[in-house]
Amino acid sequence: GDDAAIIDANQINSLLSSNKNVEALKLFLSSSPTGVKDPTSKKAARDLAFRILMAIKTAQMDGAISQLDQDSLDVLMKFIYAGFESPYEGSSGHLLVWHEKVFSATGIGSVVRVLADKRKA
Amino acid sequence: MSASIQKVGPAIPIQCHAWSSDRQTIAVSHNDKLVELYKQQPGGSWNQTDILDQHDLRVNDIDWAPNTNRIVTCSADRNAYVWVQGADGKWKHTLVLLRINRAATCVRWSPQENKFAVGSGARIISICYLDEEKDWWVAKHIRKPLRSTITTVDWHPNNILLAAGCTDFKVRVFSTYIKEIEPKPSATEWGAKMPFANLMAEFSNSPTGGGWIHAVAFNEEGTRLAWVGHDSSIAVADAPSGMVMMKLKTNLLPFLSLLWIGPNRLLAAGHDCVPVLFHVDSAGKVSQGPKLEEGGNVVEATAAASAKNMFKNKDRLGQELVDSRLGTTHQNQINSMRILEGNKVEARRVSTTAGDGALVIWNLASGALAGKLAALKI
Repeated sequence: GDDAAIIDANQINSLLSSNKNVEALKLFLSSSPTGVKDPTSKKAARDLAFRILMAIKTAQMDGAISQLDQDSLDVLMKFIYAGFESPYEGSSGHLLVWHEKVFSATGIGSVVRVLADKRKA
Repeated sequence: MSASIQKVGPAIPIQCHAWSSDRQTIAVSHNDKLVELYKQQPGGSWNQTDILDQHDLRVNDIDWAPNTNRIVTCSADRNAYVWVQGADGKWKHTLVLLRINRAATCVRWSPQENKFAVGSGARIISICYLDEEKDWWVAKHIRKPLRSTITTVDWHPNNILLAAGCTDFKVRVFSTYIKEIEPKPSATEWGAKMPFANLMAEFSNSPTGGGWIHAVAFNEEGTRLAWVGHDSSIAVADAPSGMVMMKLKTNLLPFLSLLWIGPNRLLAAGHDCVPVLFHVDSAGKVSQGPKLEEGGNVVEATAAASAKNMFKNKDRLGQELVDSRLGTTHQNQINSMRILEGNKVEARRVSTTAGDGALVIWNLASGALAGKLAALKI
């Protein structure tokens, strides 16, 4: 069945402010963030994803990716493409690096799942 | 050479293919309304022996029954024909009224060849059997709970159960028991009660949707059901262990066809244009093995022979090197795969047809491939 999203925005924000960015990413990705239905909550989820992805520096990306499982990587890829789709100011360059690193871990399969899955970011 | 290309007609995409039981003749459809039969000649080439021309629109699937030697074809024209070869060698057709109002997408003879199943875009599976008295094929419908186009069907060895993959992202197992022509079936791992059209099991490809189902396949004993979906995944459901489903998301492009080539081995092929091996362990877990050939990357063209050619390419194509040839034998997606020699427990040769119009025969018992298969022990 469909998992409803259970994003704990407060928890994630507090992790981000104490610089525990990778923890924030892991928590976000495992809370079924693609399960959000209404447009306002979807935008909020994308905004949160964007903040987390921008907070993690290039040098930390490989470490973060190695801690994620296959399902989380698929969700991450969905939000990367969501970021391409509706770009935030100055985000594209950083997202491109994210894309390259996630792609080398997952191959083209995760990109296919961005397109084929019913639930989008 | 473990992969050999055969030329069966022009280089137009082949939609589907099926072999005669002696494997000397192949039936192919080149993305049009015709079914062409090619027979292998002593020199190795293929000669066209017959054209089966009755359908009005594209032929979507062909199946050839090995024992009764009947061919069944189904088409976008919403019809199916059963073809029988007369004493003079000519093929005579019989129209089967499927009673559907959308294209027929896939067709398979049952193991005992007294029924065949046709999937369609009408959200209906037509189970057809021969009414001996009137000498015509009768179609019975399975409708519930199909919500979308059926893309693929496969029969359980007991001649009753049928697996169907659908574009509603689900795989289902139905009973096709027809009391007029067969005895009541005994219980299997899929359940005990099997009235016609009973849904025995239903599997969702993924909680997040998971892509259309492209191919389903029962193993030899009918205890396991494997399928591939458009989310680049392959999954196996194991009935004896309580319908447990194990899914593997791959790093490759989606697969379009699937075969069991051993009790624990699957071969899947699709948009990567090369068959890939998979292993299923005793717990039902699927793991990816090697591709049947390497060289999946685009082959780098050598630098243009002359400066003139280099500028010509730059002008015509916008790039200096012409690099549109794939490194694999097939140049386009593989959409149909059959066991040529052997069976689901031990397949020795497998045939593939693809969008490049080529038929390729893979010798799984040859040195290079046998080594890969042997190495595939997790």
